Formats: sequence, structure tokens, C-alpha cells
Amino acid sequence: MLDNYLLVMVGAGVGALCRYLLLLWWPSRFDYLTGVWAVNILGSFLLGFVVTLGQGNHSALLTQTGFLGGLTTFSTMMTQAGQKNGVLKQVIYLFLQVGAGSLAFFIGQAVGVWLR
Amino acid sequence: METNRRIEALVVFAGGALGGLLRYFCNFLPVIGHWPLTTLFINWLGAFLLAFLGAYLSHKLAQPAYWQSFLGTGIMGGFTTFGTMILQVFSLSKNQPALAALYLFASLFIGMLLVLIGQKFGQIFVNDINNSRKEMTNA
Repeated sequence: MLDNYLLVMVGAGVGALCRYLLLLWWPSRFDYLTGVWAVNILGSFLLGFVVTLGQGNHSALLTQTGFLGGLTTFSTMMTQAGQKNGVLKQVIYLFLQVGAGSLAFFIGQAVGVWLR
Repeated sequence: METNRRIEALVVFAGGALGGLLRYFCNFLPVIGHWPLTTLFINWLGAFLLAFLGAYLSHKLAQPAYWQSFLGTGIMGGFTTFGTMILQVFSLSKNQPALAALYLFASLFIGMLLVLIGQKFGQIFVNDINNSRKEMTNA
């Protein structure tokens, strides 16, 4: 039980750190394709990929619940959407997140199945 | 500056680890712990709290930026998850496409409402503190 907690903590800590670093590095000039968009797309692709691997419980806790859960973020996406002026811009912002995220997840799955 | 970034990175790591652990604990809660409600609940709560925090901390400029990094980027960022939401939309859509659409819509629409409510609460909270400080100085 204790090692389950530890696996989730280490994974989520490293995931959050990677998110922080990618947000620092990502150019801030984009209105919609922000660093938050980039981490969510990357995380969705990787999640789509790892779910095809048929991981054991421990490795799923480290990579899926931990790392990819910590890398991707819903709350920052929502507050960033809230900073857009007007409902139309907010809808476009969220659509680009969810649309590209779903596509990335789908491609990740396809790559995983293809490599198997 | 270099040291600041290092401390900030450490603080984000610690916050992310705690946020992820809290998210994992939510799986064991009654009612909410049942798939797919868990992620819905986590993301709603996280969106509300991050908006509250943003409104609250922006009024306390003297606070070190590490609080925002620890609580916002770390704990709330690690607590909420975009990836699992997409995963659940995919798994639901296989057998229940209408429920998948409803799940996504509810996540985003109610999430946005909670951001607005969180910001309002944060402002009210700050105003309240400011008013009670004024009363103390007037008394």
C-alpha cells in the first residue's frame, strides 16, 4: 500500500516538474496554442500510447496516475480559458484543447497498437 | 534568479507529488470514488480552487511567488488531470456515446462556471479581510 502512494507521488512530482519546465520554455506569444495546450496534447498522446501496453498495477500507478496525471492539467486550462474575453474565444480555446487532445490520444493509441 | 528557479522547481515537484496523492485518494471515497465521477469531481474542485487562489493571491502581492507555484502549479496542477478526462471520454464513447458527450460538456461547462464562482469567492474573501483590517485600524 505504502509503495502505491510513493509511486503516485514520485510520478506526479516529476510530471508537475516537467509541466513547469515546458511552460517556462514554451513561447508566450500564442493566444490559443499555449504551453498548457502543449503539455495537455503531449500528455494525451503519451496516455493513449501507454494504455495499449497493458501495464501492471505498479507501473500504471507510476506512469498513468502519477506522471501523466501530474503532467496534464485541467485546472490551469480552465482558468486560462476564463482569462479570454468573451464566450466565443473561450469556446475556441477549449475546443482546441479537447479536439487536439482527443486526436493526440487517438494517435498515441494507434502508435501503441502498431508497435505491438 | 538561478536559485529562485531551483527553489521554484523543487516547490512545484513537492506540490505536484501532494496533488497527485490527493487525486489518488479520491478513488477510495464513497460515491465520488466510482468511475467516471472521480475525475469529474476532481477537475471541478480543482478548477474552483485554482480560480479562488488566483483571485486571492493576486491581492496579496507581498506574498512570495512560491505560494502560487506550490499551491497552483504544484498541488492544483497535479490534482486535476486533462489526460484522464480524455481517456474517459474515449472509453465511454465505445458503448455510451451520449454519456461521453455529456461527460465532456459537463466537465467544461460546469468547470467554467466554477472558475467564475471561484474568482468571485476569492475577491469577496480578500475584500472581507481588507474591511476587517480597516475596522481594526479605525477602532
